Amino acid sequence: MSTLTKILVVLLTFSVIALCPIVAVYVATADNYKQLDETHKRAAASEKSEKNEAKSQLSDYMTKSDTEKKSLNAQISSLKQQMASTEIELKNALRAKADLEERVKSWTAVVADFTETNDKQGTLLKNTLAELDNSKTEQIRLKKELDETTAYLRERLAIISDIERKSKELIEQKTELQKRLDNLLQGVGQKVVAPEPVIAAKSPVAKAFVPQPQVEEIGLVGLVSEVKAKDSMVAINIGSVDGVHEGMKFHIIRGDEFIRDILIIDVEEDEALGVFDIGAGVPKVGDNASTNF
Amino acid sequence: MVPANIRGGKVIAANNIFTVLAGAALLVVLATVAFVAYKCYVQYDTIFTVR
Repeated sequence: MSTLTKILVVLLTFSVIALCPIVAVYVATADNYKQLDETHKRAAASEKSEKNEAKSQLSDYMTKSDTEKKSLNAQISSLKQQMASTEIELKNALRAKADLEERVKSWTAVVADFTETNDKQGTLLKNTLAELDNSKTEQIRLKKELDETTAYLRERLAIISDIERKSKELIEQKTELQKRLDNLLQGVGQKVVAPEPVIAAKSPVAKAFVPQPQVEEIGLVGLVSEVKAKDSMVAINIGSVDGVHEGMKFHIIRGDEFIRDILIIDVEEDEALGVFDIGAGVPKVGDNASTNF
Repeated sequence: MVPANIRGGKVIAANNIFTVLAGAALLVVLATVAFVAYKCYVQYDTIFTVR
């Protein structure tokens, strides 16, 4: 055996002793790639199933997102419209704000003027209160005078009522006298004329002149329409429409001859009935009947 | 180079320490191969191919 062979044997032995344990240790500690492969395959399958599930979920989410997108687009459009309307309202509000600010400025000026006026009114009120106090004192004084005047007027009113009572009595007496005068004047075919209104006389002569009642002729003329000599009654063809009333006297005349007087006792609208009075003649139908000769 | 122990045309192994060393190395290599083959069969169900 040569030396070289020996050297090679020794090197081979050492290399084998060095490398074989390394290989053994490596193989012993190496990973089980088949198991790892199966694990990875199972993991891949599960990942794939998860991927498919995720895809389905994604499609679901996509559809949901599409629907939500549509609804959100609708909401966005409506919100845009609302925003546009809100912008318009905002512009209007800004204009209103500007107007209100101008009004506030004007009102501020008005308030300042009002305050100044109020101060002036306050001073005027003070002066007026002072005048009112003076007026109250004056009113008290006037009230005293008024009480005195009232008492004086009451005395005068009592006197006036007494005078009025006397005046009524005089008027009653005057009415009675007027009736008597009417009866007397009707007997002679006259009546009292309403007196002219008396104007206050200024001169002493006019004051002394007292107007006397004036009389005028009645002037009624009619015809005898019926005669009842037994009853001493005569009817004439004029009545109350012509001015005839009870108590009047009519003269019955035939031509220029006086027949007799009649006294009216009953009056109708167009006819009157009288009884014989002074005289001895008997009236006939067609004789004249007049209040005056 | 001619081997040293040739007898009658046959190669006769030298019976010495170096022979022992070579045999031990061979045993170690064989044991390692067997261990590797065992592990491959256990883990991959085959020795030479990978499926």
